[in-house]
Amino acid sequence: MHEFEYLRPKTLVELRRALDRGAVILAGGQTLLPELKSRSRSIGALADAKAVLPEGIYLDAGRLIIGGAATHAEIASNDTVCAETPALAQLADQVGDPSVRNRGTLGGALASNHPAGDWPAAALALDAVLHTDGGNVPFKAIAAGSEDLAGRIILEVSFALAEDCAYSKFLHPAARYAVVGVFVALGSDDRRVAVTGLAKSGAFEWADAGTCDAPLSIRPGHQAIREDQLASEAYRHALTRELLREAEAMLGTDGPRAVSIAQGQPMSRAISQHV
Amino acid sequence: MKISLKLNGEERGARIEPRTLLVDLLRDDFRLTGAHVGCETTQCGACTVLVEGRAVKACTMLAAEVSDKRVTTIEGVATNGQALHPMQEAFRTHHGLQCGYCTPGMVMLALDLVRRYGVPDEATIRHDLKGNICRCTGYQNIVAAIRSGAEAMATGSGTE
Ligand SMILES: Cc1cc2nc3c(=O)[nH]c(=O)nc-3n(C[C@H](O)[C@H](O)[C@H](O)COP(=O)(O)OP(=O)(O)OC[C@H]3O[C@@H](n4cnc5c(N)ncnc54)[C@H](O)[C@@H]3O)c2cc1C
Ligand code: FES
Ligand code: FES
Repeated sequence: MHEFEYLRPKTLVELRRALDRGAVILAGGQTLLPELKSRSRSIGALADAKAVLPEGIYLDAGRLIIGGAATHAEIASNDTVCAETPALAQLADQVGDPSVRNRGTLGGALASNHPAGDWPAAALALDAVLHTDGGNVPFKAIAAGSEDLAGRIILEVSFALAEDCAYSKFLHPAARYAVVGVFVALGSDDRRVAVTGLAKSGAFEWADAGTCDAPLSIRPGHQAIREDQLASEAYRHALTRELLREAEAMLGTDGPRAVSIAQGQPMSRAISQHV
Repeated sequence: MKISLKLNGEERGARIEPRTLLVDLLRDDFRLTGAHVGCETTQCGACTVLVEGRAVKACTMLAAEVSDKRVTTIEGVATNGQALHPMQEAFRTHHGLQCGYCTPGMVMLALDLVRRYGVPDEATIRHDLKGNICRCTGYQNIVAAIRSGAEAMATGSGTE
């Protein structure tokens, strides 16, 4: 790691001042520290923000509000999340591993918007809004690239409460991020599907997803499709369709609302229910 | 910068560079070499320790972040004059290790599992072992050891 200054602001005002002087927020560090260690990023100063960022979880005006500093582990075990949106609790429980979940935060996951991250898919399908110190930003504007955080602090994130929702993820065998992940949310009069891991530019809303029996073509706008040693473009497309079936098959059941499927494991739900 | 922390129950202080990793603080400054560095890239879990009772990868946390916090390493798990903590004893009994490189991290992660689940079932143990890699054992005996260690702790032969 290159040298940097370590700041520990005691209030949001102090944090804001540190950022205005060029410091970078350190939340759980599970994305930032690996970047600093590999020297793919170097910074002048870090502002350790965990102590001043909200971490509470509650319902407000028909939406689920989660503090930016809430960790994946806290979200996974939170009673409100488990009762209202089990898919989010179970998604959180399938991020990385327990040690990563004990540190990594929701704010960090959405700020870094990893192209194969799980939270960006959930945030799009559940119409998430980032409450920042500079006003509200819909996550879809960030995902579409029409807005960026521009140094703002994510204080809280609000999610729509769906009638039902589910997430299916095809696991990267080493990194445990998604190769592809599909989040489906049913509202009272709409259905939203968001896909992560497929487009190079990150998660997007699959507006013409069709139904699981007749999934339409995947058109992430004009974005390029990810392709690596793990999965070709065609393979990722095929996975996306299968994962949509998997996610839809979970809706309305007594079973889980998020699954991680490892290489070599059959897509049991899709096979038993749709073949 | 100067930090102080409660390390394995004792108040300790150190003078560090801000970029010092927690695992380097433990190994180089405090000579607690139980937390191993297997990958240094957050993948293997050999460096797992507890901060405020929760498992973290000490290669992916700054030493500065544990200032005023409680840190427990493998050297600190056996207390009250025990030779081994019940979880360590269970790894020994069940042959949950071969070369031992991953073992301190496995034991610390197991203590986090016990904190959350009491006696976790096999599926839960396997789910939560995703970030702790063992190149020797094939995991079977590690899973058995964690289960048995958790049972021993539940019946009171354990502490922590
Ligand atoms: C081994 C491993 C496995 C992982 N597996 C998965 C996985 O399966 N799925 C997945 O989705 N993710 C995965 N992750 C990533 C993990 O989810 C993210 O690292 C984490 O959520 C990022 O949050 P953080 O608090 O650690 O952010 P940090 O690393 O502290 O920060 C990341 C970036 O966000 C900025 N930032 C942080 N908080 C805020 C805020 N409140 N406001 C504004 N900007 C902010 C920081 O300045 C920084 O640029 C994995 C990571 C590791 C190391
Ligand atoms: S050395 Fe920390 S995870 Fe491998
Ligand atoms: S016992 Fe050798 S790595 Fe696990």
